[in-house]
Amino acid sequence: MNFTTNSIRNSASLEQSVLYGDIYFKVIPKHTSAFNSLSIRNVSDWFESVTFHYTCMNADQRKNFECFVTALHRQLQNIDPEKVDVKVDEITEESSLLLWRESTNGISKLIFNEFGGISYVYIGKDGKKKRGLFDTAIDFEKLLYLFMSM
Amino acid sequence: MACQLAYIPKHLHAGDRQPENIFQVGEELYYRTNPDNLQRPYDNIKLQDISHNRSVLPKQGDKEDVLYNIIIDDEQERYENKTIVALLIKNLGELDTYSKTFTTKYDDALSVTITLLHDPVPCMYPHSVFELRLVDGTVVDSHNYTKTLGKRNQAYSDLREQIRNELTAMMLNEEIDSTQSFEEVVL
Repeated sequence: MNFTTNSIRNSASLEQSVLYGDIYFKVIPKHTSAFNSLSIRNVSDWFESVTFHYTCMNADQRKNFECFVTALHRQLQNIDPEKVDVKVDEITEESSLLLWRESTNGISKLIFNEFGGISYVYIGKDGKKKRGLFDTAIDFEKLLYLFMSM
Repeated sequence: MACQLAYIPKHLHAGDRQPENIFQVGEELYYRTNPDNLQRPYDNIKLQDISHNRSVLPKQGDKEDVLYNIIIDDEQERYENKTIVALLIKNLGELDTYSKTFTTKYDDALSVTITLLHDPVPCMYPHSVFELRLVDGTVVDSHNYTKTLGKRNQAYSDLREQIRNELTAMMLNEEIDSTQSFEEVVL
């Protein structure tokens, strides 16, 4: 994971270069703009790119996110990673990391807040609405199933 | 105060007309948002001014009216790059409007009530808002936001998230339903 972080940092640094920035920008694909479409097939790269991009995360958020990613990593042995369409964003005012996915049924969200809590939210197109508010002492595999199942 | 913007049609001027706070089932509310933000329109805004336009006021109104810019001293007349979402009022509470109260497990004494109100402004009679009122009676606005609902602690953060979820559900289902609440999930 450190190698990936370093390469992203180097890439960002080279793009800032006064002498070579333009050339580098044209030749090398941008890691930072591509991170949201980065395949989840390589979970560790995905984890690194998210934590690199969302520097607003504190230690508790990172820890919770890492636990979730570990559970995800285990499950990706059984399911096709290309079908796991998880989008990443932040809720700026809350400094929260947001993972969300949309299916034909509705939207599922996982919110890792700055107080160490995790919210699961499901809003169905049929009017169904669900919410769970959890602390760190949860089974992350169950949380993953919940997030992926709707 | 009279409307000072020449490009706003006369029938949208509030003039002396008073608010009509009785809403109707079947009425629509129009909200403008960015086209690429339809799934999560409220995740990255502050919850201090949640404005919509009513469909039934005035009678000759049009849903496109919500695209008029009513900010004085701003050259842009219309928000041409925005899209409009129509929310259908499916049912109403006792006071003929939508109203819900949210509580938080992090502070038993705290709650916030969201209420749909008709709020005419000089250049936009159909203007309406989702008013947010704290349990002590304080109405949240842009001036007091950081000292009220915008406070940075776990209880207020939880309330804000619940309100965002409620508004997002309205947007996703394109309806306002006073009866449906979020079912609690336990792991």
